[in-house]
Amino acid sequence: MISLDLLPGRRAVRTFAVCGVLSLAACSQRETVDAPALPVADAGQTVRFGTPSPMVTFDPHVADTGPQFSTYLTLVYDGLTSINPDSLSEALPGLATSWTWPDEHTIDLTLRRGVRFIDGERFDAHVAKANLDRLMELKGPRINTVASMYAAEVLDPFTLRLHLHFPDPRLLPNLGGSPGLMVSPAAFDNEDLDLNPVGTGPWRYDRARSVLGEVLHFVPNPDYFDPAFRDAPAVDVHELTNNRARLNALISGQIDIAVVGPTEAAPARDRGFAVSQRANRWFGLTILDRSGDLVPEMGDPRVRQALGFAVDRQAIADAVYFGYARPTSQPMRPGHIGHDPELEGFFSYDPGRARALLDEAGIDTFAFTVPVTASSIPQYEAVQAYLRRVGIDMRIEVIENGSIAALARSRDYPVNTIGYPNFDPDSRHPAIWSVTAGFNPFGYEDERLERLAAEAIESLDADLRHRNYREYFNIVVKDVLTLVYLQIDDLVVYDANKLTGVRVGRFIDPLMRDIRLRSLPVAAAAR
Amino acid sequence: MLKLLAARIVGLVPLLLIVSFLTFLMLHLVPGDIRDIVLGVDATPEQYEELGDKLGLDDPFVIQYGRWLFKAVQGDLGTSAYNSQTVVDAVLDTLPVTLSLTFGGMLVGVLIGVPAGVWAGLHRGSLVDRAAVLGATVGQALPNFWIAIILVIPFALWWQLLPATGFTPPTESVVEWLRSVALASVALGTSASAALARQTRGAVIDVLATDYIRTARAKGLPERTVTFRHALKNAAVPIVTTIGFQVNGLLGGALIVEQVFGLNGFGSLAIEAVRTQNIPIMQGVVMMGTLVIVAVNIAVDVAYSYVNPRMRPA
Repeated sequence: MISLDLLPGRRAVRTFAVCGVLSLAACSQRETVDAPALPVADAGQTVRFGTPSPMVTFDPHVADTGPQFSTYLTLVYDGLTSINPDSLSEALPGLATSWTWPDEHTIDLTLRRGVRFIDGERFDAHVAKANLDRLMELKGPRINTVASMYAAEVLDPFTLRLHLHFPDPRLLPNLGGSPGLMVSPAAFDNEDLDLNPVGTGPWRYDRARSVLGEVLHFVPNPDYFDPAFRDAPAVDVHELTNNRARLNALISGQIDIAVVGPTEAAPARDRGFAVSQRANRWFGLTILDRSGDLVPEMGDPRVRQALGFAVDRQAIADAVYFGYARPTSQPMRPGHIGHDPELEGFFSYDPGRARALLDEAGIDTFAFTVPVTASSIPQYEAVQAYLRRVGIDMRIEVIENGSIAALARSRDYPVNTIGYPNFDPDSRHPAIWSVTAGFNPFGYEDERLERLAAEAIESLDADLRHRNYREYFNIVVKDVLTLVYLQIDDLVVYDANKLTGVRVGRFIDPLMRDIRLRSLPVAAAAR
Repeated sequence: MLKLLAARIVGLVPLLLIVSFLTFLMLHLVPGDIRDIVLGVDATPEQYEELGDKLGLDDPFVIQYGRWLFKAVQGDLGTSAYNSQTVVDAVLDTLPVTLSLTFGGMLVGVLIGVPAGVWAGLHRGSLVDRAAVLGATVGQALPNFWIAIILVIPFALWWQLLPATGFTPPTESVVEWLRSVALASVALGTSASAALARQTRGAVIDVLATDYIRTARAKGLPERTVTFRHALKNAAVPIVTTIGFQVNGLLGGALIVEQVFGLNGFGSLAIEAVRTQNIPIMQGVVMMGTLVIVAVNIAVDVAYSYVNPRMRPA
């Protein structure tokens, strides 16, 4: 037995020091994983990407289709299809090279031959069916995007038939998200599939060298079927949740490319980094109390229009978003289904007109409260100031992160500030504007919207869909069921001397598969 | 000494039980729902319900806590709500980062604060003393995250002497480990050094005014012996206590400074867990944080009894 009070001074100090170092070293023995050693590329041959999005799961069938999908899953998995990020409604070939519609309730997919998973398993129609069966059994967060599909049938080893409840023009593009990614069936029962992906993708995850929450390493898959990826660089994904830390890492040369906010984009640009941008989401107010149950004034469309005319969109775009946003009046952006060029400037900055609309409605002044998360306070404070000038008192209530969606489902507030990515109206209608929508807690019903959406959702006629949704959004905008102020950009800054092929995808991050090193021959981006 | 350790360890059990219960309770009172984060904005009510059943979110609070406690006493703190990463793995991946910063900050604090305080105490009223007091006031007034932001600019961005982000474990490279925590340690250690300098100065001044020091000088002992053998050893008692307080403070400060340096430590783990309503991880962070703080307090008690024999148990 050792009693410290019997130890001479130096020994005691030494013992403390040794114990301290040993405990620190013991803590530093991070989880080691039995995994084959993969080649290690040096930093010059590696795309080092800084993202705010942590890796959550490598199991695509329980993953969301967001940055999780585009940053991590698309590196290691291939999908049956992929999505054209410029249109969102167009499916491009993936592991399915082509498809036909024998009738409105059936799709036949022709599958790619000669594809193997990294565990050596072959990809064929039986594997694809097993994946879709697993997807439908697990019912992950994106299952509603493929809800039209009720069965998959193997016609021959490389032809898969999908049976649908109803004609669904969105199914093929939606299979380009996480639901359509193919996992080796031998790995279905792996308990660690969510941390150890087994796909066919162009990269392999180097789990042994990676630390979740810090940096994840991906090395090129030498057996990948597409020769365009033969010279693909290694990829390191650095999880850096703080915007300023990502910018610092970029400036100091620790990473080559980073997702940033508008505040960081300008200094990065000034230091010679290139900026890639895409208007992926909109900023505004989702009107929940469309009938005026909670705040009677909100039931009058003229009052809701006043909320639109009172705000100087361009000033907010310049001051809060540093120019990385554009004024608009509609949820969809140019090139997307339902976009109407004539709606673009429906709301101009006209406080006189806003005041006149309020007078016409017999309202001198009124107040309402909006829930706002801390990160969105500056832009809503700007809106608040403009509304105050015409006599509208918008009170901001700061709420916890993660609670905004629950509040949008509640009847506690007349307006919500939840932000929506620019997805297709097929999924937005049942979420926001339908009488049964979760974000329509007061049950406001507009029969015109229900009819137009019902016709469009189940139609394979692209013209009809576009026509219907254009009319649909004319109602949404002019009746101000949702008030859109700005289309805001997702931003990626990067070292253009080292990287090429950088484009922001449909989420906040770049299209990882397209990025190449300038020092190597530029391969054509495969998809 | 062993009795002291045994008593503290036995006392740890009810403390952990109370902390775990209160943490669980508070996490359930926090607004927000993990289902909104997992399922996204397009979730149907059916999906919402199914996920709630799967995660047991609709069970009564007591049942949920009992289920967690039953596993916890068997050493199983559960897994992340999002994947199969165990809470223990998540904590052990991040703990070295935060401990490195905490001990690094303490080292900076002790190396700067104690000599400065001793010097100021021995030369009370001198220019050096006044400079030390002023420095300590400024050091305590500056927030450590602000110092961190300022330090990054010249050392990481302009001269690129030290990394702006990231952590290298000491098992990989001791030099790189030191480089990876250097700036954060200085940022953290500034306020600790200020507090230690003030405390040390006061303790030295108090001890120098005592009768036994006067007696030692009257006996004709050399000033060096008076200072180092008698004055400093007795002044160490309040200094050790302050170090204990500072370690706990540094642990909290590290959580914020980690963000500035993009370090995947306890703070980053906690913040991400709060953001994503990942209750098992949050619970694990709080429990492990409690253990670390209790361990530090026990170490302080042990050190205290070493420097002050009167504090040793009979």
